Amino acid sequence: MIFGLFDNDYDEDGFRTCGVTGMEIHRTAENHVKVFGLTAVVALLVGGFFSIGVSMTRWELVGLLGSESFYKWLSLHAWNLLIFWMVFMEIAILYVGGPMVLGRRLPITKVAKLGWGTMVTGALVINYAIWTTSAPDQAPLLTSYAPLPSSPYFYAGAIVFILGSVLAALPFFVTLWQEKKWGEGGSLPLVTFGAFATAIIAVEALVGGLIAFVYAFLWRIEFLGSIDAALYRQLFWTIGHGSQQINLVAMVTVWYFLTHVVGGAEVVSEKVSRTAFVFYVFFINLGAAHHLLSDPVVSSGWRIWNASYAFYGATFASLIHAFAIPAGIEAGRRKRGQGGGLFGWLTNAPWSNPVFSATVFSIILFGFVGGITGVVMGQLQLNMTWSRTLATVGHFHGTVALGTTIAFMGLVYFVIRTMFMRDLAFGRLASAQPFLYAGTMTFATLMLMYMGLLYSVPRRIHSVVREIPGSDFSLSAAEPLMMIFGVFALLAIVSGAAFLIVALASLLLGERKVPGADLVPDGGVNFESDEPVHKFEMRGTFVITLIFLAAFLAVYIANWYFLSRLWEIGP
Amino acid sequence: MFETSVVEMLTGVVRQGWRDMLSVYYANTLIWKLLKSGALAFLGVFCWAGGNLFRSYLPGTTFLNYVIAYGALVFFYGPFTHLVIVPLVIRWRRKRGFLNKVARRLSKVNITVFILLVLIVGTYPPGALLLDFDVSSGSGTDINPELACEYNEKTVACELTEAEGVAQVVVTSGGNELVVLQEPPYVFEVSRDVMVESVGQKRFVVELRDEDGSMVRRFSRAVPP
Repeated sequence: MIFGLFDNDYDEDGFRTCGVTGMEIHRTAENHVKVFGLTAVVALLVGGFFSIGVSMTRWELVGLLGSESFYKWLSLHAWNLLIFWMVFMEIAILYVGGPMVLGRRLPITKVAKLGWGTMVTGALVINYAIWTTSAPDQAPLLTSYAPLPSSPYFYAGAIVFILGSVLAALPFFVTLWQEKKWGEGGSLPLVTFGAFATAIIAVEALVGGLIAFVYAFLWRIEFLGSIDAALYRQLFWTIGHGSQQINLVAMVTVWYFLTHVVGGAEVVSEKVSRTAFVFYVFFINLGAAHHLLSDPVVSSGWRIWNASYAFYGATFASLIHAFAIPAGIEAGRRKRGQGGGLFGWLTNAPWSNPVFSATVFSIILFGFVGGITGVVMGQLQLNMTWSRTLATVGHFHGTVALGTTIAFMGLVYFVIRTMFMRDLAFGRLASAQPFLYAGTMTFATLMLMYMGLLYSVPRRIHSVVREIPGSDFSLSAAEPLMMIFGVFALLAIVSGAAFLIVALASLLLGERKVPGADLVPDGGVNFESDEPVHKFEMRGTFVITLIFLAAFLAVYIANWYFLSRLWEIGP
Repeated sequence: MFETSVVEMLTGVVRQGWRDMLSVYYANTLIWKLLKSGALAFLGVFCWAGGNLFRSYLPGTTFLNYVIAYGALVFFYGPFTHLVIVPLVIRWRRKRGFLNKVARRLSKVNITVFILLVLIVGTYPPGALLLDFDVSSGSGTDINPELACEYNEKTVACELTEAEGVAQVVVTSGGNELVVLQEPPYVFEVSRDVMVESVGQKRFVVELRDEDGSMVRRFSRAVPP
């Protein structure tokens, strides 16, 4: 049954034409996308399982785990969801954006396989190392901050995983090199360009991570007599946050791809969108500096340059994409004759198709929840009220759980339909799942933010709201918000499980069905008009961006006001 | 001439905006209903929690009670309006007679009831809507012990002072239990040889527990070579 998942009808050269995208797809590229995608889903399953223990412990009414187990579960939750689920998907995205979009076979497939095997080995070693952590070692969470020691197997696993990721990315770079050498010339398609930007940012992050973990590993096995903890922190965050920037750029690339393929979007201005990707390459990784804004060893100039000047280059790029992608959907759908009124283009879109709904929820929620809060808390001054609290956890659930994960869920549905050619099982549940997950995870995320901002409830601690042992200080006032969080976290886990059930049932039990009209944007591939896409109205997008601006200003001004009230001058 | 055209443009924008708002309000497809309900629920939480946040800095500001009331009510009333009231209005407007008459006024009645509810709840806010910000009212007592250690060639000697509220002291190294003290004075001496070395340094942990056995403090110390 498993090997049957890799059977499609290819011509004698190993190519087939995709009925949805029209792309010429080679067997080698498709099979590797499937393998990396499936592995990512397994990581999501594992990480999702550990989210049960994490959320049901922080919901202190349940208080599932003790402090030591909690930290292990939290570490496993973090590594499987922030790293393994994401990076396996991102390698799959590189193979879609490279060889698939360019109509080439995947080169050096042995290296791709070796990369996959190495990544899987690294992931297994890390899971084993964290699960078996015992004193004097500490479970690392994501950061494994020195001088707290973690298991040497953990550092070794991290090194192996990173090396595997670099290996797995190589066939993508070779594809681009081949395209430039033997291709027809001209610019790379936008999706390939986005994937290329993703890959450049990924290499920066991975090399930085390799240096950080090799350094820590040599210290842990006592090859080095000591470790400079401040240097380690700087090195770590090149991959610690850099890996999340890979997620961001890969997710934006997926947005362009899926809104076009299943939503009928057109790119309004390729030059503007490409420029935004270039901005990412230059500036996005500097955003990692916000993790060190409260670190005493870096200078104020370093902090201000990275987090309050350079990072706005990346923010500007995100704002460009935030306008360009909805505008592309609006103009593209109006061009297809699908856009009545102010928002008709949006509401008559194929919302029952989970690929489309997941993509659009990812765009909206990443912008409103993860994006705004990222810019606010990434500032030197405002960071003081967010840092070390659950508000930070809320922010990165806004970016990763709401933004990237929902986009990748949409991509998995798309791969199941177009590459595995399986009908989605439990049709109504499949259609509803992005709505359920987006809704429940949004409220869980908002509660995390409010608990952090209203009460400064700390992160990383298993129990603090009901009682802080040995202290008269109490955070019990935060309990109502914690109750709301607990309920919605549980519902979000159930909604995430629904995704896994639909995906796995489709793969293992789903009827084989060649994709067609159910995925093609309504109105088909033909346009109603020959006018260039930028001639069409985008006033709906303009209104949405005005609402976004209003929300941004409200949050921004409110945060500055709250900060200003912390140190009042005068009587 | 110029002034007239500006006025016309502005009235045109306002008129178009009003028409757009009405069309969004009455849009009745499943996805419209879900999007409107979700957006209003989101706005409701934003206003409720945001209003409470401002109230923590500006206690006694009455206006914020109305923001909080609006947020809490719109969280429920928004979805109720767009999932129940608006579909009813549209269905009943197609009928004749009494239901048609009701439908013509139902939206106005609905919004009036909502505004009245906001005014009433904002004026007399129930305690459940207002978050408590008294963060220093814990029932426990502060425990602020101090641990002082002397590192000799072969042993480490420590004393715990200011130990009120501490019922048990447990000393471990590398997970191995070395000393357990059940009553003051909390003084102990441990041989360096029994301590576990990690990354080139011997370490030990002193865990303090209260009468219930709950950990109240934890000191982690590295032993100088």
